[in-house]
Amino acid sequence: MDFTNDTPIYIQIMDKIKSDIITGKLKKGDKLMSTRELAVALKVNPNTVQRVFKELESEEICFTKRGMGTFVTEDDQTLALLKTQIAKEKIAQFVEGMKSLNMGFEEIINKLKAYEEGKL
Amino acid sequence: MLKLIKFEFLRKRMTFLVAIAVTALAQIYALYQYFKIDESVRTVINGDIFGIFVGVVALGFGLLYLIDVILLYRNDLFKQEGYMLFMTPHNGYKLLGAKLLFALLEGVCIAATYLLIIFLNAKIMHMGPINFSLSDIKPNEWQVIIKVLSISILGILEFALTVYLSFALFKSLFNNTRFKGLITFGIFIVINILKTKLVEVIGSLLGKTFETVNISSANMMLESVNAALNYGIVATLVSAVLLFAATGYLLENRINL
Amino acid sequence: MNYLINCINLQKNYMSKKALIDINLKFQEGKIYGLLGPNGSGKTTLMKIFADLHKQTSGELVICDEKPSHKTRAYVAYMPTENFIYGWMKVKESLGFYADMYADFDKEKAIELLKFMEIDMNQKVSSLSTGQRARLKITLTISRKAKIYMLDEPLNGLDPISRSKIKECIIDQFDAEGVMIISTHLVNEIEQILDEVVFLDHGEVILAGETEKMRLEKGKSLEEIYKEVYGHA
Repeated sequence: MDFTNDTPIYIQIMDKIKSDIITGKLKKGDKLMSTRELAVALKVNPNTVQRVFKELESEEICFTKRGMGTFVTEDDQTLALLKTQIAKEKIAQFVEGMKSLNMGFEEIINKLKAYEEGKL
Repeated sequence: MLKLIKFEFLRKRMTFLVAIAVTALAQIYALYQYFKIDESVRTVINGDIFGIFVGVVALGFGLLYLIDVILLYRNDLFKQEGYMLFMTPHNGYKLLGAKLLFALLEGVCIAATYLLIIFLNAKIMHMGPINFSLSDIKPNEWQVIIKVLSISILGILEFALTVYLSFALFKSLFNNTRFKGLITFGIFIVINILKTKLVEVIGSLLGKTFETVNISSANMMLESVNAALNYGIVATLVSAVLLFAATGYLLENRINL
Repeated sequence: MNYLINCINLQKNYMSKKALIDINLKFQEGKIYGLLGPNGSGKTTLMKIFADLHKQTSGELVICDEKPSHKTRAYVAYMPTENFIYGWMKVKESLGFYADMYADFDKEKAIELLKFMEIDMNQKVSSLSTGQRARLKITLTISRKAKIYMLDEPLNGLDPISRSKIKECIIDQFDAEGVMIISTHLVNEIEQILDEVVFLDHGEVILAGETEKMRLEKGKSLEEIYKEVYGHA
């Protein structure tokens, strides 16, 4: 995994796990790798991974069973919310980018349609 | 301590095997040369040959031992691999002590080997009337033999410790300077000058020197030799202890390894 | 917060040459530190003083509430950058040596790690390749259950496979009750591993702090910061 320098590494790893959950690579109730395993796999500091799990837990996306490990939540509502939240972030990012090209909202929608029809 | 000595032994095992093999080969070769000499000549000069043999072997063994004892410390102090030993949680005195104890053991083994070789060759060469038989040696002669060997080993150790102290001083004061060997040798000379001065001062304080002791008991050769040896052993021992303490102190508190 | 190493105004001179100047650093339990700087910046000297192999000229140094001595060496696992394992030893014997000398050495763990490192127990140390030697070095050091681990240039001059294995080993074996200090100038290789970094130059600390903070503040990778700090590639 490559990391960028504009966001903390732990957030980049969180985003990766979230997107794995949404795309279905990780299913609800799935066991996540242990701190150590994930740290070794990503070649990052174990403290960073520990923070990732802590934050994911506080967002209730994951939960920890004592002595068993960390699991993806089984609550459908939370997962749906996660999807909405990430969609919102992606859209905001996209719109921000288009606006910086001096495009109005109408124009963006037209461009989107054209893109979908393969005319762009 | 035992583990440190075990380590030194493990390290030297190949050297020992090679040394034993070379000694055995040299012995066979020497005997082969000896028996090639015409028998009539041989029986006449075998005393001389034996005398030379005893001297040469003693010199050879002593020299090799000295070099080996110096390398025992030098290699760890000046080579990268020495870190492996000096990183261990043993204090400087213990590390040095283990090396000396090992050197002492090695010295005793070499001395025993030497006696064995001399004894064997004496038998083989039929040393006629002065036949070497253990029971022929009087107890007080044994005493002298043991003392001579002890003082030889002690002397070598004391000399080695002087060299050790030079190394340790160099390592404490300098770091990777050029003229390593030259500076160390300079330090060695200075230590020796100091030692001589110290002996003089002590001698004048006690009001007698070793010579006066010898003369006062000159009526019996063996006894005077014995007395001189006793003083020699004590002096060497004291010097060795002082050198050991100084080197150990540097190793524990000052040295840049 | 528990500081395992604390140095105050630490100074080291070799004759007239100043190797370390006024070093004030604290090393906290549970963190991995990077000691960065070009050759001759004082990284190795500092580590050797922590390992009680060199003595400071002045200043104070406390290691786990003790002055450094042969006693602190019992819980400081230092890996010098030099080839410090006796060449005459077999790999097996080097393990035996560590087991004999260090009470905290876990031989089982070392044997397991050697399998991972793909090193044959019966090989002679002098016949190992550079990469294998480096892997053996780290295996011996990390198989101790020490409080302080110091690795001097663990990745220097190694092939990619050795580097990868060593990195994995460092991450996997790091324990939250210890401190790990890694010196290197191959910054990009390990920047994701480091909690905090210390930049040394000509014996002085010129920059120190949390890696993440530094990266975000400057919007640059640690390697870019390194190049900026030392003004050359």
